[in-house]
Amino acid sequence: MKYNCELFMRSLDGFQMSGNKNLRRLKMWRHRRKCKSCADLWERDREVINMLKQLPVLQCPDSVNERLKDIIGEENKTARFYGRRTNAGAGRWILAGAGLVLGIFFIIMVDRQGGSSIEISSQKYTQEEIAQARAQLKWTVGHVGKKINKAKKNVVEDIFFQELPRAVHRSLKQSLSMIKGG
Amino acid sequence: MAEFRDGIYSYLCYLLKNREDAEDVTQEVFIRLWNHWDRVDQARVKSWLMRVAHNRSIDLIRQKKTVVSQGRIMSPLEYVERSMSAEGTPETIYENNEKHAAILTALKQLPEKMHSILLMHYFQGMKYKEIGEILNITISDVKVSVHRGKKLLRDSMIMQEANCLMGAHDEV
Repeated sequence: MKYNCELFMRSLDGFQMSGNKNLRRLKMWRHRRKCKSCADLWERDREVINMLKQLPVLQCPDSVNERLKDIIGEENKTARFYGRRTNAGAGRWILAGAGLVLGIFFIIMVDRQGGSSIEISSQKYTQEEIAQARAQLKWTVGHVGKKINKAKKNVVEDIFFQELPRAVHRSLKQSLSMIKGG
Repeated sequence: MAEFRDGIYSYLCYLLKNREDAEDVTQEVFIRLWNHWDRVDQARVKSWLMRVAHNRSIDLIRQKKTVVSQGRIMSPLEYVERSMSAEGTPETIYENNEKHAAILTALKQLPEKMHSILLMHYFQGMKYKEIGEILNITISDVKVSVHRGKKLLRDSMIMQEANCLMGAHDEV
């Protein structure tokens, strides 16, 4: 097939993608030498592309950075207070491990007490809560370390790093109130 | 994240044409990133940021069509003055500034989607596939938008040059 202006246009806009890239370029170059209008078009096209590529990168003002730091700093403090997000990687794993142990202990205690309800420092857990905790724990432990998709991974991480540490936090709070004479 | 911050801010400035809005959206985008950090694919943070930035700016543009804007519209020369590219001889700086102002004036006249696609592809250096994923359109649609956008820009630049020549001729 003879290379013509239509093929040149298609190649210019990336519609003609088949074949060797260098060969395509060579064909375009040869055509430009013969066809004045396509050469002009190519020049204009390059000019526009270069102008877009060379648009200056604007510097984000310091005020935005400061505001961001303030907001994220505040969020981090709040989140850490409620045990939602922690920065320390090792601390996160220790907390998750402790949560897992406490969770298993919780289930064992329930089973030992007849499997219907459990009372820890005047707080009574309902059957529904126990069933939910048992199911969550079983599901999470079953998926830890396995190759799973992103959605499941998020749920495992949510339970492993957020729900279980929350249980630790609650238990610690209860233990503290007991120590203080509650 | 500092590596992405200026890029996102520049993209938003060029798209929204308003400095205050660009600052607000940049801030919002990074706060969202912070809140969703656990769920963001770490290898594709830039795409995620661009998607959020694009969606938020389109929302804002739609809102502004119904409510009169309070912010100040930036002129093309103001973008250039705020830029960091002040290297080279005064002649080359002036020449570059003229070129940037011309392309920004031409970009302003394009529809938002086309404007956004051209900025993503050439200014941000994103691939057709990435842009398609961000905007939820096919690669062919992206290519068609790039093709049409470039054509409109070429025509607009020719018109600008013609106007300049006419102006110079009138002065003589």
